[in-house]
Amino acid sequence: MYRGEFIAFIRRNFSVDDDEIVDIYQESFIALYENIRNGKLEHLSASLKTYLFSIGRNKILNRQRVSSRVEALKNDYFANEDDGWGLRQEITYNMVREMTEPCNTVLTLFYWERKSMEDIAGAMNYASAQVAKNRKSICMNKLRTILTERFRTEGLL
Amino acid sequence: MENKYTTEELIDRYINDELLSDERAAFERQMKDSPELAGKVELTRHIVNAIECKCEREALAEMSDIDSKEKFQHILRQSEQKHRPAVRRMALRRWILAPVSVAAVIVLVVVGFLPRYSTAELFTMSYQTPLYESLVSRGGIELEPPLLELLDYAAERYEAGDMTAAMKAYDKAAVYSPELPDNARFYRAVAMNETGHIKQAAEEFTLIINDKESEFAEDALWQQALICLRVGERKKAAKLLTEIKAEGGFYSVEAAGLLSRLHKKLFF
Repeated sequence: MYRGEFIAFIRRNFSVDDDEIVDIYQESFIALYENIRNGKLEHLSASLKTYLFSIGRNKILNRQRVSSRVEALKNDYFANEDDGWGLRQEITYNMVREMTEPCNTVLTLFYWERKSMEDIAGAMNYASAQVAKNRKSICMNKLRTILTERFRTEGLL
Repeated sequence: MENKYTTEELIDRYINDELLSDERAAFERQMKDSPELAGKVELTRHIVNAIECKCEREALAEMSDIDSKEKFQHILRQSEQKHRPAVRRMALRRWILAPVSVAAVIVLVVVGFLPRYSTAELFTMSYQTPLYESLVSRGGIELEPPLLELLDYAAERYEAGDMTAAMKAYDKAAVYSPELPDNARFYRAVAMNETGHIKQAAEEFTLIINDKESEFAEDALWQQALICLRVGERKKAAKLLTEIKAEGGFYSVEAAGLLSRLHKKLFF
């Protein structure tokens, strides 16, 4: 979950070698799991991604405190993160929950599991990666059309 | 500068921060000039965030079900194994130079005459799911309600990209009435092809091609040529594409282009 982005985030903002980043990722994930089990995530206001990334950042800062080398973040991920759960996001979330097949699976494989079009074609038994690409494009266009209408109905456009 | 990505791919790369700095700057200029593009990007961001949120909640629920830390660590370690690159070894041998050079030239000549593109590559480059068009079928045949409902459902599933459901609905309709309308026969064959029932699809397309009154004969011939590529029948594909090109119809330009790539050699 978010492994690639986590590694890219740490690499961009801290001087840490790749093996250490993977260790930090695993430690952060275990800490996340422990917090879930301890009931600390019942009232999570930020996204899970933000939470996981902030655990990772704190772990690195704790490690670097020992060597008294505190690096200024070149690109503060958290400063730009908007965790406000606006009406638009709520409408979009409800629409996504209502997604039918095959769009639900195709888009989850692409955007969440970060699968290639070849892998998606295999999973969906499509003739080729191009078919998977076309399907994904059709699904996204449909969603964007529905979303535009819903935003318009709510006076958000 | 030639665009190597489609607009959809550019949008995805932009929101995932995967564009190079000059690509990103160029894309942002495009967005500034096109409110429509900027709107599309914004909607995509909302949708991707919502998908992530939905999947996060599902993942959270899954993680809550793992009842011990040791089990969780084990799952994490197993997952990490997939990301470790395999260690490869390159073994080097010494060859005597002259025979190797001669062999290399022979191989080069032989290989040079091999086709530039495999049939699988040509199929991938050329295939697109035909868009559903609800054309009026010939003869103005009155369809009975159960058949009409089945066909409407099949069409709806086809348009949604659910080819398995579409094919099943068309199959049911065919049992109900062996004389399916023209368009239903065609889209049924497409659904068969897309769900891997290639032989049946080819048989259906052949029937449509041989039906002189069918409005989909030209489309079926094109699909048949692509099926030949898909299954590796190079010569048969070339024959069909030559026929399509000669007819000068809707697909003649595409057929000409595909024929050219089909005959292209690797080096010569």
